[in-house]
Amino acid sequence: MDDPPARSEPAADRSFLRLEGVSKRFGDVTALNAVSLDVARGEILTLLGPSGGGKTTMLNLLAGFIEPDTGTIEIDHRIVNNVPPYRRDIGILFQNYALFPHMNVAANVGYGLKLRRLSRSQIRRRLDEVLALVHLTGYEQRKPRQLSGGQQQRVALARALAIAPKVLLLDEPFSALDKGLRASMQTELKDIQRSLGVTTIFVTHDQSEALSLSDRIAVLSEGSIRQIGTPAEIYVHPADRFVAGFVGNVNVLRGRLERLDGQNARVSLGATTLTVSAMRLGALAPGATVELFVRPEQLRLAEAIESTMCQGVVAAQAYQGTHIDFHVKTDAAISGRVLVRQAQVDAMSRWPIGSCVGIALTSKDAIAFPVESRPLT
Amino acid sequence: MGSGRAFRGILGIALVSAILCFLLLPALVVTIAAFNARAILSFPPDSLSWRWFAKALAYEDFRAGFRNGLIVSACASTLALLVGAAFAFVLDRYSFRLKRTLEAVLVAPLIIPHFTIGLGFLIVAAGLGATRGFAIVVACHLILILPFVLRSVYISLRNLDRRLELAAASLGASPLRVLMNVTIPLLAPGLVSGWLFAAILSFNEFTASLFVTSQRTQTLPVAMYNYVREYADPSMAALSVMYIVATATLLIIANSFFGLGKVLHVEDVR
Repeated sequence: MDDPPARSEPAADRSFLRLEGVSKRFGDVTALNAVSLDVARGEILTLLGPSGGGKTTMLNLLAGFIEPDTGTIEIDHRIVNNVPPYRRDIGILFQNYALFPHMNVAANVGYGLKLRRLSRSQIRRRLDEVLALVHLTGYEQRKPRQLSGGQQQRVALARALAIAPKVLLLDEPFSALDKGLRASMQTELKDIQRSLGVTTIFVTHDQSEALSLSDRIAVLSEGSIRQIGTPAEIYVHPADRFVAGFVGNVNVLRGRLERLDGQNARVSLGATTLTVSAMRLGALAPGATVELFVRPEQLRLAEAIESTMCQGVVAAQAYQGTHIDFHVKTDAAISGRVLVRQAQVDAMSRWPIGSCVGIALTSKDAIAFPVESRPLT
Repeated sequence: MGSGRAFRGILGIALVSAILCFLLLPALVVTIAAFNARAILSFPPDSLSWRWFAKALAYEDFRAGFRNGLIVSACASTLALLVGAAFAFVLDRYSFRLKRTLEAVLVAPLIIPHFTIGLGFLIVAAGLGATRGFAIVVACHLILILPFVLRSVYISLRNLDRRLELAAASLGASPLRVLMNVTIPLLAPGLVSGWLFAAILSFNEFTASLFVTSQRTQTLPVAMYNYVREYADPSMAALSVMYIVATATLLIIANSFFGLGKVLHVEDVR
């Protein structure tokens, strides 16, 4: 799970940014608990998790706004625990952009350059460069309040990039944008990040953003990293129930452990039996109930008479353009219903609401977890 | 239904007009009295005169009172701004034991009668054997106006987005630079309005000033009080009109720079 991302750059510096055993407490609350993490130079790593998971604390620690209680933070192989934010060379894109309202675009973007005592012509050149990068050439004299949300975000990005930061921190940057703009800004940001090769930490609670933007994702919950891996690893091989439930949609089905067979486990579900990895089951005795985590696209609808793994009744259909989401009531699911993603358009008329259907598994990638008393979050 | 609504509308307008007239009544009466050539209130305009204005401007006690008032209010409001801003900063940025107590002590002058504060200062000054100079007047006014300045700056600080300061720091600004380039420019409306409000309050303060001023240091309201005990001509009214005009001018200037809504905190700063 800790494999570095498959990247084409040669001899990548794999620990350009490094956290080792970093903990932070606020009063009685442990915000981060002995977190270790390596980020390669030029990588875009996402901190994904629910609010209160510790991702904001991590961001503040990296920026230098707070200091860790224990552990070390290294940037470019230098311990920066006690280095104040203004000596860290870190660019931050805040959720609300935090543009200086009393300065125009040029003054905002040039602020960090002025502090670095660059000459007027150097500042001018760099300003032109970064404004061209974010497609805002000609907006130098505008005040932030005269710009749209998307433009403000570009200015904020230009301001953060102008200082050629060692690390770029993105704090939920897209949450204030409307949906269409969000998608185009995501693409643009990723392009810019790739072309500059700037090491980037992206904080979000939005799993689809994380999956589409990241080289790797670190899933954080309750102050600990639950899993680090590429988006595909996280999605297909979640390390635990939390990750499985938090990243992507998931159906939880009730199965019965038939037998453990080394690496594999045989689990029966209704009329069918399937082989899944035994990795997360521990020393569970045969006959025990297990929970199978199955993605909506790993299921398909079938005629009720086929030897499908379980049966149910269609409760709702939702046309999504490229596919149709079927909500099917079935006793096999813990929550009483499953989400099935069906590609064919004729599926809507074939299985109308109220019809009895069979549910079949299309892949072998279901994941089995022992039953846990704690409710799934 | 239509006529009922129209009637209610007229009634509403009449009520509002009556309230506004009531609010402006003292100023109106005083203004008319100020221009009156004789000692009685009467139209028509041929009896109007500027003579009471001339007399008020020429009266030595008023001139001295005006000068003293300017000195005292400039010193007191500037000191109050420095002290108040510092305390507002501490209250906004830090949490500590006794924070509530500190807040309570700082706003206490709001509920202590002005004559109590004046009397207290008088006793302290007598006990210390100090002469009744400007220092004691300024000190007394400082206490009276501090809560207002503190409140003004504190609200501005509350409305200031901390992320602006963090952004500046991340771009390489030391704490001092953050303060100079971001915090103070963004707080400027709050600081100026706090200062202006304090200056006006100090300039107009009468009750406590009566206790702590001497013949040499008496401020304009005290001089006016002393005058009205002896004379009853309209020069007092003329002075009042000048007071109103001066204050209004000041507020209009402040409005053109910052917007009155922000200055008076009736509008959200952001």
